[in-house]
Amino acid sequence: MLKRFWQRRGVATLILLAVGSLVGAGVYAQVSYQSDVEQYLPQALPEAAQDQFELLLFVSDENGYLYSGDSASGGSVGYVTITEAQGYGGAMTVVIGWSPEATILTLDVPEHYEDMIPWFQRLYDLEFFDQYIGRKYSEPLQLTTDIDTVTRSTVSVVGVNTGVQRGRALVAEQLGDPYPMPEEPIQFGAIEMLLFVGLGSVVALRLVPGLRKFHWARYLTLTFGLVVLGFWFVIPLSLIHFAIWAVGFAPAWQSHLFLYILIFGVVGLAVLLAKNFYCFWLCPFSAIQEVMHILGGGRVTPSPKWQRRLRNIPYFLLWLALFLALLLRNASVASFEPWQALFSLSGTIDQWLLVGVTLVTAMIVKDFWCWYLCPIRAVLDTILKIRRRIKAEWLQKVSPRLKKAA
Amino acid sequence: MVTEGQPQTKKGRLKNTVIIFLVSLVVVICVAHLVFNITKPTLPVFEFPPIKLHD
Repeated sequence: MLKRFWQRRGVATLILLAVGSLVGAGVYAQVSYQSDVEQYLPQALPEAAQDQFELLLFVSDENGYLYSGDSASGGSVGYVTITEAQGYGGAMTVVIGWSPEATILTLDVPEHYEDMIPWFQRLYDLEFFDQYIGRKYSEPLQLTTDIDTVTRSTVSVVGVNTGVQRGRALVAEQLGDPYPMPEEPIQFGAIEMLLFVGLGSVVALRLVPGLRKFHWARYLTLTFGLVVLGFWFVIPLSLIHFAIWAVGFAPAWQSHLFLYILIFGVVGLAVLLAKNFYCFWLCPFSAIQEVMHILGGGRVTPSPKWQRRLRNIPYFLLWLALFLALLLRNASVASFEPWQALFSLSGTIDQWLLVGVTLVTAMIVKDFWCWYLCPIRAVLDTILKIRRRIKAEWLQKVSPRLKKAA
Repeated sequence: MVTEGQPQTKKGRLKNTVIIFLVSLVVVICVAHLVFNITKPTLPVFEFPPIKLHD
């Protein structure tokens, strides 16, 4: 009986359980999350007496707080601002202690999701935070001109700076000398243009009848992906890019336009044109694997039965990573793909081990990671399957009417 | 080519075993990495100098 149920409803039950557990994890995390910002006040302004902090201002849409701190005798010793900004893996909390004249005394980021070891640690190692100490609220505090950025940690750096600017806006308003947040400039440069070129080329090569015969052209787009998305800008499509939306921390589109083009371009094209234009065409890791396979020349493939079984593993890894990200409200824990270490040329020992094993295996098994492990292919295949299902059901509904009309 | 239903040769079984072993190995590393993302143990970091293709 169990066997018959499994044969008939096994897949549907698994899908239902997977979706249910993801929704459950997301709801639980949102309901149980509590942020006690007041715990950070004494450390931000140590001169103030323990119970002498007073909330002066709260901006709900930015989760921004401004506290004043007094000494035990009652005299003002400064302010504390607590603001939120967008980092790589989610929102970060930026806590600043200000003097009564609004000079920065302390700066810390006690809550963040920048767990991509070692990228956030670099900010401490390279004394990024120290650059703000002693700066007055009236200084521009612009990145690259006033504050040096940190290579490989750009998104975290932008997040911290945005948090500082938001804190400055609160203090400046309190002092009666408003310093509004500067308009976020829309960043449209080389990478955004190259993304359009890359996606457009793949669409043309796969859909324009005259171009489809040029099979070698796939190697051109793969090389493009390897150079541009891989080693140049280090932005291969990653599960973390999907997880940040699932967790509810969409990055600002003005400063992350490339991310919007990449994700909505790949997903939108799959929905519109029913094809995966990323895997095997633009993915830089796919390109590396193909190179390794040419070098290795192995032809190991499992039997069709095992091929079918093993190709379900990416769905398990996708579910596990998303479940953890939703449960912990932390998109960066979803990242486990080998390309983070490979293209950023920086990673922990387990990341490099994954790179090594995957690339060596790719020498004997063609597109090893893509077929048997890649969560990105699982995401895109799921989108395509849902699309096919919706289309089939729609056609089933519409076709009797069409027949009738005919 | 071996299709479903056909008896497998010794070579075919060996290929299956090799791939199952390799996939299992990589799955274990991936799951370990997910766990490390949460527990954050202090692991040695290996870095190469960045490729200077752009600023």
